[in-house]
Amino acid sequence: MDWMTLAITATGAVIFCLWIIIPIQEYRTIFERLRHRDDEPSNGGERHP
Amino acid sequence: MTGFDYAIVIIFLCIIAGAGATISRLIRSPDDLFVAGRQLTPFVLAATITATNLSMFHFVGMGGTASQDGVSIIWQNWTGDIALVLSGLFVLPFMRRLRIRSIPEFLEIRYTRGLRTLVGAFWSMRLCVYLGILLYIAGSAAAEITHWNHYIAWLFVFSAVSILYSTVGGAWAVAIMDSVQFLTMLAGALIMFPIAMHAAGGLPSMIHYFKSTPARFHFVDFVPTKGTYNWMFIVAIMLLSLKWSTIDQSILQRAFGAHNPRVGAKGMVLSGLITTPMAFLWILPGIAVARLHPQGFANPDEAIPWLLRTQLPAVATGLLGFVLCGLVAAQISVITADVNSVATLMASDVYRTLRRTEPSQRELIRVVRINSLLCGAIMIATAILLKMTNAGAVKANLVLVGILDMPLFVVTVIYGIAFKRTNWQGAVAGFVAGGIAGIGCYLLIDPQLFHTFIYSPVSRLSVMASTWLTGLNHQLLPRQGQLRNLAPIISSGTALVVTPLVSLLFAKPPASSLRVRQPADRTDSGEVDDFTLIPHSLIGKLAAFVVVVAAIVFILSVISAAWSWPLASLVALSAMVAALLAGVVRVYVK
Repeated sequence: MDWMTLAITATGAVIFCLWIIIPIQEYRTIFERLRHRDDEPSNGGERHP
Repeated sequence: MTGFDYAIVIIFLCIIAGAGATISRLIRSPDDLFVAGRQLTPFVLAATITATNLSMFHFVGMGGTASQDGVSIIWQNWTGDIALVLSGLFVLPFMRRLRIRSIPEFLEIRYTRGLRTLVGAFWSMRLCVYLGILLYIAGSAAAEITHWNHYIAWLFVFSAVSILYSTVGGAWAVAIMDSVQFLTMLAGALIMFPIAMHAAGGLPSMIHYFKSTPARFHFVDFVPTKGTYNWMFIVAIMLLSLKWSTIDQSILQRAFGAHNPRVGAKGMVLSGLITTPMAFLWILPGIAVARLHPQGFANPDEAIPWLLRTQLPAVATGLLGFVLCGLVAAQISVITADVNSVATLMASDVYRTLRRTEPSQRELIRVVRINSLLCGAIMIATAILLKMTNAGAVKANLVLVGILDMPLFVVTVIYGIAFKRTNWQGAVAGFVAGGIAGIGCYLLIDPQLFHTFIYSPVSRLSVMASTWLTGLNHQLLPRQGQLRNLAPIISSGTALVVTPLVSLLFAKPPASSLRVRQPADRTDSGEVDDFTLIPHSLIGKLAAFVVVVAAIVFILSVISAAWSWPLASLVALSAMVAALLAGVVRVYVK
């Protein structure tokens, strides 16, 4: 594999790895928030509650 | 394709379809269905925006166009990345604070409810047609790659899976599965790219080959002076990208799901940053096809499927099936996001505004689901029509956005946010006049459209007028390529002139319509909203300044290619990289 192809493939691979590791952590945060939300009454998400 | 390849694709489709039903448990309110409960975080948001942006249109359509016209089609992606940074820093946070679900909703706050209904209905139809283009690419590519030539059956398979999970799971299903689909498409591209480069003799060898072939030198010129995708195309697509990143419903609806304005800005900037190197993964395989199959293809959309079919099975069994999963993931993530957007527009902006009484949440959710099914029917009909006319997907999409989108950008972002004096009469007039100017541009330069829609009706009214128009048509025909690129500039220019002129003829808008200018200092969840237009810190100020200057330098360097400036490509690329990096710095500092 030539160096240009290698550089582009490696950059793609880094993005791939980052977007596995970090979103897993972020999904934990999201589901934590959702658990809190389920304990509260909903206003339907209207702009002017 | 072997049985193993088929098995991989079928399992993947079943997982996606099943995910919608599982995720539907998160749906408690219309906001969950429309904007994922406004709970999304930066990297999740970047993944969902990227997955919503990228489709087979990029992998197959743009890759195929690169095989025919060279690397400069990559700017359709890259200008979008610069625009994502600009929108993320200067437009999205402002709109996110309004807690809106759609751009038509902003138009109601700023102008009038009628404009919200009009634009909501218009954008629903426009998105349905765009979905038809996406479905057409998916069906054509799948039939070409698998050699199972049942185009209509492929349309129904893709539609059934996409509509099932977006209808049931709404924006939550779109957001969560987009992360999975983003990774699947990236993995597929990372497999396809080195194999394609190896088959074409390696990237340095390819560059040398095109540079030493005078007739094909422009294939590796990023900002060409001549050709269909020349500097003028890049300027036009930059304008369209600004429009796309600031008013495109499917992109902004994902960003409205951000937890707060700063998260929205981070998501958009990160999406722009990662899409930039990724664009090589689908454009350069197209250039590889130009070397491997120099005689080209009648329809450029056949180029990448040909590459996959001829190169991948020789490397390993199952590879073609896996890459096909990546392509399917790219396509389904966009279709589901757009189906979700159409449903939002129809339910929230059309149905809700036309009713005298406020619909209940349950009723609204039912309307969303019915509209998703309706949208599916329209997109299948469009995909069948496109197959019958055999039009290239990239050109069909450029025509669509060139005509219809720019006037909306002008009245929403330029006049809606920046100019107080604009009233709803001016906005409606600018939107309609810009659309007519764009349509007129295409009618004048396309011989078939000219004879059907201009010559025949005008010749019945006046022989002199029809003779003059025929002369004009003959004069413009040799410049058809340039005029296609000019169409978005003409439509936006018309809207730019008409909107203020008509506004001045009517009374000033009421002060209440301008409340959109007032910033909030708290997010929905009560946190301090510290993302300001002008940053507080010196580094933040410097980074925002670099973004703006880099964007201006970018445009000027692209225009300089008109005079064959040898450094145009280098300066344009450097300016783009500067804008992206400075954008990242800006969103992470106060």
